[in-house]
Amino acid sequence: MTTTATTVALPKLGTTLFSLTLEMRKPGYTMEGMIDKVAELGLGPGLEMVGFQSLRGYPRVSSDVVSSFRAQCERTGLEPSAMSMNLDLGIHRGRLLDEEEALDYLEPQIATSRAMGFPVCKSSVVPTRSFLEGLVRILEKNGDMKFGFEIHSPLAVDSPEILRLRELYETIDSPLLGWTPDFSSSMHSVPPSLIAAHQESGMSRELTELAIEVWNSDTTMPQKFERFAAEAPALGATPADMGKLQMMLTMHGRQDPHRWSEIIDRVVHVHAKFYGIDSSGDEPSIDNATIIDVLVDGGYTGYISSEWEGHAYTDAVSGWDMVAGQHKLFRKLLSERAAHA
Amino acid sequence: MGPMDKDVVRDDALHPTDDGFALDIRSHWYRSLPLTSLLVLDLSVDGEKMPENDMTVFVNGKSFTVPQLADGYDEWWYVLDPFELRVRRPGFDCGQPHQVEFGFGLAIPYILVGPPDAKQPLLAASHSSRTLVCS
Repeated sequence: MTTTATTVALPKLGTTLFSLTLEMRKPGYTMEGMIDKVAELGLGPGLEMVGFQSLRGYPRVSSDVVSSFRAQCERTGLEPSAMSMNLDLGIHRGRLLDEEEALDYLEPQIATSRAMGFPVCKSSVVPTRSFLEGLVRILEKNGDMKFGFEIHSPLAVDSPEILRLRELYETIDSPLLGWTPDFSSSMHSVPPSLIAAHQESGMSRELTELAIEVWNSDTTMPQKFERFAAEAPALGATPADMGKLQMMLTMHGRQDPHRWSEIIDRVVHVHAKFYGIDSSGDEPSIDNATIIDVLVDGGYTGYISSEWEGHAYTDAVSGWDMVAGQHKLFRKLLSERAAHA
Repeated sequence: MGPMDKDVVRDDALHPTDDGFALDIRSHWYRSLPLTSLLVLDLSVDGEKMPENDMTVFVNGKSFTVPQLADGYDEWWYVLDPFELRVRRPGFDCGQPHQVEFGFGLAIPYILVGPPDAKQPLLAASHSSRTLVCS
């Protein structure tokens, strides 16, 4: 193949098995069968999983499971993209893990992820220099595996927590420490599928419209919560409704997608969170075209991992169909981008 | 209420035992959790609250009293396995339908909420209300 000076390097697509959270509860489920179907439907090549979801006994996984997984990837052409780990700081009743315990908790997860062939792992962190330095030592011991802290709503690139981590990353200056941007942080609308689900559960249109108006306001999160708490009860909000709509305010962020460029140099994985695909094939609450542009312009060539999260509030659609729809959208956007390089 | 909440107490969840009954409980969370996460097990049957002392959790072939769950940080409840909530109830009549109310609270150990100096795991609550017959 001849390459030209105008060829642009593009990110690769992929899927996290988390998108199929409801599908894994159906009769006949096996992880192997699900992975085969990801390959058959062309939803790779990247394959991500949540260890504590997909693997019984994780992080203590037998060598047979590891070798079967690697062989299956080889056979299907799928490529392990990232392992979603969990830092269960609250695993003990009544106290949180200290820094040393937290590193000890992640180490076997990192080792298992590495053994399975994942080049990237991700979890939350203890936001201190000593913790991150300890994390780097573990990553180095495990073949220089990369770590991608997930920037997920309500966090954004300029949240105080993220600014603190950005400083620490610069201070420690290890190429193994990076980011996983999650599209939930940079949305332009509340997902229509979420609003529909809430209205079907009995919320009034006036109540959901208030929540949307508050979400769209240029105010801080505490101000949004305060206004919503003040005005929602008059519209018939039950305590359960209040909880769901406060969650809506929290889980969908309004960061300008162009601002992902501020951290693009350290992006090691991308979570393409989404909540629906409309009849025109677009995601109605996320400006995917702009995000793809930011990723390509920033030179990102890793995986964009499809993460359908609508399963948290609806089982009316298939996770498989949703991920396939998002892949179709991404292939269109990436081919347009390649054509205009 | 999300789709997984519907799955916590299924239609075939109720079973007789030698000294009472058992309910199969499934997770409304997407990943496996340690037994320390089983924070709220609030069960009422036919309007009567079941005492904690009469309940045990049977999972992974082992039995745990409710207080023992507090030490179960290294015992994992795999996400697709139901656990049995066994209740001592001599004379429980399995020939009749029973109204079951189950308030379930999972402490989510990696999502911490609250003020910076008093963070604690998010409590993911689920409520099931079912009329069940033994199977």
